[in-house]
Amino acid sequence: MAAAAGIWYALALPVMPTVLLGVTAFNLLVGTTEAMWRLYGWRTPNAGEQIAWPDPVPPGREQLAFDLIVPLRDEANVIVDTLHGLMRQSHPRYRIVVSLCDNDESTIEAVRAVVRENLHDNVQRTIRDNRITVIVDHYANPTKAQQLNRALEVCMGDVIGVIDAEDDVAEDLLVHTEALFERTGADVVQGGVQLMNLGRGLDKWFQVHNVLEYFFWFTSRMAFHADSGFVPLGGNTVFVRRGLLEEAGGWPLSITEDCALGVQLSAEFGAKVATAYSAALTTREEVPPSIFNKKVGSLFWQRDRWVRGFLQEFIAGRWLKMPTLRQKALAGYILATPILQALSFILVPTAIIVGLTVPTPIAVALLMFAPYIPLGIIVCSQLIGLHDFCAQYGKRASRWHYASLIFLMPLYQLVLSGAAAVAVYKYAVGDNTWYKTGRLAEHRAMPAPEYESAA
Amino acid sequence: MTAPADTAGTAEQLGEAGEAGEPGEATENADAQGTHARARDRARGWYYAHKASLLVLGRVLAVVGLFSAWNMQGWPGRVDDDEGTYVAEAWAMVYQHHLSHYTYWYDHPPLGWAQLAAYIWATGGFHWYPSAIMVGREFMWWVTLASCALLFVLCRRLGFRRTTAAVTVLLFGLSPLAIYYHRMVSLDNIGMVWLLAALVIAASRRHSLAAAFWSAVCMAVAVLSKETLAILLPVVVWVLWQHSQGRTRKWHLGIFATTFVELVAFYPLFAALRGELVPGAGHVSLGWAMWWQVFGRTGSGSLFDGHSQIHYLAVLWTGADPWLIATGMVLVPAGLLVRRLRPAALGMLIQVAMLLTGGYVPYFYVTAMLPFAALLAGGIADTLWGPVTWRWRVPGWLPRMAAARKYLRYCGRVPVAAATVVLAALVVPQWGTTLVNKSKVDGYAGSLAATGWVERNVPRDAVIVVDDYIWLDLKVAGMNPLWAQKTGTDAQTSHRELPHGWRSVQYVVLTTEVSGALAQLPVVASAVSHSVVVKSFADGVTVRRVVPA
Repeated sequence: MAAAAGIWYALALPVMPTVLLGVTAFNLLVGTTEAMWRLYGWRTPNAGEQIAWPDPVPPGREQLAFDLIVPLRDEANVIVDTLHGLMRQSHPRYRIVVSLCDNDESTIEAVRAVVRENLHDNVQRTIRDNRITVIVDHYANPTKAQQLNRALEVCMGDVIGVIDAEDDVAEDLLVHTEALFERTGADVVQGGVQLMNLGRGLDKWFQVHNVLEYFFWFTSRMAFHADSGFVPLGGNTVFVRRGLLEEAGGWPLSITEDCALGVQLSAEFGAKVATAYSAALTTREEVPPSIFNKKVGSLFWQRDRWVRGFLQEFIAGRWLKMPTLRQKALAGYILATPILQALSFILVPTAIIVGLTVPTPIAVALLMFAPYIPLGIIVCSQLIGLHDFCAQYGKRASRWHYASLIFLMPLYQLVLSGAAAVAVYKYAVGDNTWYKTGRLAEHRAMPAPEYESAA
Repeated sequence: MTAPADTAGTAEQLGEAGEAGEPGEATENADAQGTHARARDRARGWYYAHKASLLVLGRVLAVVGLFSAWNMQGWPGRVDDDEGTYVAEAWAMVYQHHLSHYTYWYDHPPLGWAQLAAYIWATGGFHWYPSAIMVGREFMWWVTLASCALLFVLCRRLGFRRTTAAVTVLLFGLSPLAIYYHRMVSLDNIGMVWLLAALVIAASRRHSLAAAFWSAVCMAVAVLSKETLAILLPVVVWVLWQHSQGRTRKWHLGIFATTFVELVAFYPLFAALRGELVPGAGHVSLGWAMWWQVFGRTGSGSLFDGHSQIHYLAVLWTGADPWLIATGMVLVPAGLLVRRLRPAALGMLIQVAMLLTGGYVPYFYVTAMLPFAALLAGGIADTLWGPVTWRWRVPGWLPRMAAARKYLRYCGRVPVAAATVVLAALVVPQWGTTLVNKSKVDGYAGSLAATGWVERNVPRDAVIVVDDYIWLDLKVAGMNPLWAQKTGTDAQTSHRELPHGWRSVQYVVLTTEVSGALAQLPVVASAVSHSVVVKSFADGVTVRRVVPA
């Protein structure tokens, strides 16, 4: 600090322009990395082929046994369809381990109903014997990590997968996953996850933004992370070899156990993560139905939890165990990104307002607009991304969706930045409460049942 | 504050991790070495992969460089004082920290002469030459070499053979018309380097998105160096289109468009920050300047009118070299038939069409046609040299046709051979004669002698009306020159320097540049009509002293 002040004094730099240029450089860095990461999957025509799933293992040649853990809490309204979907996997060797809390009677009942019906099926088709294992336990303060670890105790397969209650999982996912394990020799496979509902009506304006966040995260950014060797994993459609997972002691007890596990496996075990994306094999989910309403599912509070998870991992410093300096810097930057982006969102307009009100040299004033170049590229990529998303998933976007991407982007960023600010505040005061995102099953084409219990 | 505790903590951790740390460091070093080794291998691999091309390019550049440098100060003579203006503006950037030596009025974006200023600043070039303009010509020599190198790479990326790529560059670099314009200090030359760079990058073989971005950056720099190059935007976009593939094409075009528009928008932004975006009383503005450029200038007339400005230019161009541009024009239809040459043909077509609209044609207009003409000539030859692929089947009743095809496989080589004969028998001797003749021309002699005489014989503070070739030399010598063009247009200048109108002028250095414009310069015209010749020099340059009657 003192040294920096001393250098500043010695160079006699003019204060305001120097600060403005520093801020501009920061904004430029944040904007450029975001633009480059989200375009990673399109950087060359080959890049798309590189991240596509390999051909499935041929029928009869399947070697790996999968355990798919489905942790559940208050999911009676969606779980039946999810389990039915999972039962249709084309891979012959897999089990579904449903992990439940003992006080969650409605969900337990829903799962039991599926199991009963499955047993009935088994009279005819014994091959699907014992497909579903149900674990019910008591937790004082249940978290997803605890439920996952409890389920892990009964798993015996070669690979553990995590599926969320609301997920629509592609039938051929496991045969492709095995092929990817085989081809890459990876320890971890992260499949694509895609939010599906673009939203209709003014109150759902944010949904298209969230859809595209996922789109770019799993088409591009995940591939970049995998290539860089440092991968904060996603919450589902993630597959880990059981031996490695047990060696790591299961999932870390964090509010974002997925990110934490990814960091731990990358930094401490040098795990190789492979990722793949193609529309036909993505796991489909829904965008939270509201921004703030915790009851039906809130984008804001979900983001607060994620940012806090990233922040915790950043402070915990496990990323410092990455082997090279370059990887350390990249890992730290990746974990800090949500907060840096929130900061940049505030600083971009602030710098310009200050620069225009305080007399500044014209060159400095011009340079302050430089961050708008990556920003413009990001907006452009959003528009093309939406077009691409619709083409890949057979969806139709109206011009209001495109307009929302252009004109409401600052508002969406404001929501994210607000969530980041709340997260930082909560972290600072040691508030560890978190809220579990509710679901309305808007991504499924049928009317959702009334949501019953509060989180 | 918390530093001591922190240090202790770190030390402890280090102690613990000491043993484990060392292998880690070793890997890090090995990794670093590995990176260096890889970089070295890559560089070596690149060199061996391109060795043959580099050899050819080196020879071509040596030839073009020699011919470009051969009397580059003497020919062309001092025929368009825009040359002087750009050098004076660059000088003002370096030494006065202004955008221009007179009020900057958005005639062109300043990025072009900013590059010249950077060269002057880096080399300190003014001290080497008897006249400031010569530094500009020196910079143009480097610009020409860069253009040649880029054109060569572009040819290769479009799939030309090394020989035809070399011939293309030689046509582009050795045509006396090209040498004439490449030597003159013009924003078009500077802008064309960036345009060629944009084309080269757009034709990247990796088809990466970064190529679209950097191509847009280069195109934006080209337009911000010389705004008229914007008419060639479709050419770059077409090349980009051809060199992207279905899945990523919309990404390429989107990134290109966004980047280009945003960068070019910095120019109006710059004007807006200076409060000079829209016209208003008492200040210049980008809005007015653009209106003037598009609507305000008198057109150059019709090509077929023997007295029009454009006719004069056409005579000048064909006089220097009747071959290159004409060949390019003739080959446009053929170029449109060959996929890889279509953008180049379009580039030629756009510029020919602009010539025929009757709008204002700048003196340097032909500069941007040269690379496209050369590309078409070289490209058609390259295409014809290859075997003919027959797209249609021979009907069964014409069995001889099939046999004939075997012999006609290389029939395209006949016109190429004929063109080569013409080139060797007619073009090369003609170009050679022109260049040899022009190597003895001393185009600056009169102007330079007059400058020297004025410096020695005219009082330092006397108001001397001159053209922009002489302006900077007198200014650097500490005199008080006044650019003839500013006697009428720049209100501030005429008020300060010419309080009594033409009577405030003490001397006029009458060059072809000034005498040709007298009709638009009433102050200078009056001064000249009340003046006597003090001294005459070569090329009709006279120094006149104003004698108020």
